[in-house]
Amino acid sequence: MESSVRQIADVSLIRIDGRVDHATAKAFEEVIKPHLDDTGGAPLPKILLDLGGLSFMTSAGLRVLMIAAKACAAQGRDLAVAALQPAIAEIFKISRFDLVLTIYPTVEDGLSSLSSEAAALWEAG
Amino acid sequence: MRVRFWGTRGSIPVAASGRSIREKIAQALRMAEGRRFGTKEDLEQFIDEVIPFSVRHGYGGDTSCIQLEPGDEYTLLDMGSGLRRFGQQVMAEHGPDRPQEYHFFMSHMHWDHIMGLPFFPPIYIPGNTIHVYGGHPPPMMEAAFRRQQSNPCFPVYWDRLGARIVFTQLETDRTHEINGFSIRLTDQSHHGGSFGFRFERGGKVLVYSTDTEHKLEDDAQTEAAISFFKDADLVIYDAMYSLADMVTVKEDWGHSSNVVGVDLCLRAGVKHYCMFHHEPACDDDMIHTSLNETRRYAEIVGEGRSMRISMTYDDMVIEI
Repeated sequence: MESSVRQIADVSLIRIDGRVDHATAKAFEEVIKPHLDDTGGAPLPKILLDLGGLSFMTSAGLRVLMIAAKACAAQGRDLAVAALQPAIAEIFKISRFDLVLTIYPTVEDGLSSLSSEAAALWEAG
Repeated sequence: MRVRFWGTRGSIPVAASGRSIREKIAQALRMAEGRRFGTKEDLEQFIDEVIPFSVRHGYGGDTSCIQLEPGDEYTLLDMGSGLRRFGQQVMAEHGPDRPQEYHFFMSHMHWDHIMGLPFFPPIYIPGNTIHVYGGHPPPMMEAAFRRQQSNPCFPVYWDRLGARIVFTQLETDRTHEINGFSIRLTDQSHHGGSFGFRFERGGKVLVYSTDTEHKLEDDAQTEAAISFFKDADLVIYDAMYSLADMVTVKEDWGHSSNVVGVDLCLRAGVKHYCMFHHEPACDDDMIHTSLNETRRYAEIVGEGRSMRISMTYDDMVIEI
C-alpha cells in the first residue's frame, strides 16, 4: 500500500494506492490516524480519501474507514471517499458501506461538494 | 459426517407472512406463464428447476438447532425452536417406549438457543438421558433452563421432567471425546460469553461458530479464529449482519458479518463456508441476495482461491 497527502484549502486529500487487507490495514490506519486528531483549532479540515489507486480491500480496510468516519462525525466534520474502482465499489455495496459513507465518482466531484475553495485550487492545478 | 439443520434463524423464530406467501404464489404463477402440467412429476420438475429456491422453499424461521450424524446416540448443537421438529421426528421414529440418549452442545444459553427444549417430547419421558455440554458452568446452564420452565414462563416445571438431564462443563484447553466425535471449544465474543465448537470425525472437520462478534481490530481474536477454523471442511458461521451494520448501529450486539466470515474462512483454508443465524428482519429475497453478494465478495477478495459458500436453511442436509 502506498499513500500521499495533499492539503488543499480546508480539505485533506489522502490518496491510497495498492492493497488494503489484513496485512496492510495497520499501515492504512497509521496513514489516516494523524488526520483524525482534534487539534483544537477550528474548523478542522475535511477529509477526502482518493481511492482511485486502490485495487484491493477486505473487511480489515473497511473497518479503518469506519473508524475514521465515526471520528469525523463526532468532530462534526466531513469525511468522504472518491474515485472507487469497480471492484472496490462492489465491495462497498456488498458491505453496505455505500449507505454509511459519502462516495463521489471523482476527486473533482468530492472537492466541489466539500469546498468551493479547494475545488478552485484543484482546477487551477 | 452429515449435518442436518433443524433451525437456522437468529434471535427469534419467524414465520412467513400471508403477504409474503401471496407474493411467492404470484411469482410462481407468473413463471408458469399459463402452462399446463400433465403429471405430478411435470409439476415437481417445474418447481425444482424453474422456481428459484427463495420462492419454492425459503430459508425457514426456526432458531438454532443442528444435528450431527453419525453416532450411536444423538448429537445436536443448541436447542433453538428447531428442536421441536427434531423431537417430532424422533418420537415418530422411536415412540415413547425406547429410551434414547442425546448429547447437546450449547453455544450459550440465550433464549433463542434454549427455547426449543420445553417442546422436545423426550425430556418428559422417563428413561431418556439428555447430556448438556457447554463452556459455561453447569449451575449457570441449569438455571437458564429452570427459569424457562418455571412460573410464569411455562406450565410444566423443570422438576417435573421425566428424563435424566446431566450438565457437563467442557474446558477449552483440551480435546473431548463424546459420541464418536473429537471436540474442542473456543471462547467467543458475545454478551454473557459464547463458545464455538470444532468437531472431528473420520478425518472430517466441522466448526460451529455462532453468536460471535468478530472485532476486526482485535488481532489476537482474528488469529485465534483462523487457528480454530484451520482447514475445516465446513464452517457454520454467524453471518447475521452486513459489515456496515456490524460496525455501526449494531456494534456490540454480539454478532458478525457475512464478509468477515469470508475473510476468516479464506485465510483459514476452509473448504465450505455456511452462513447461519439469519437476521429475523430479512425475508427470503434479502437472504438470497446476501448469499449472491457474499459469493461475489469471495470471488473478488479470494483472488483465485476456491471456497464453496452456502446459506443455511431449515431442513438443509450437508454431507461432509
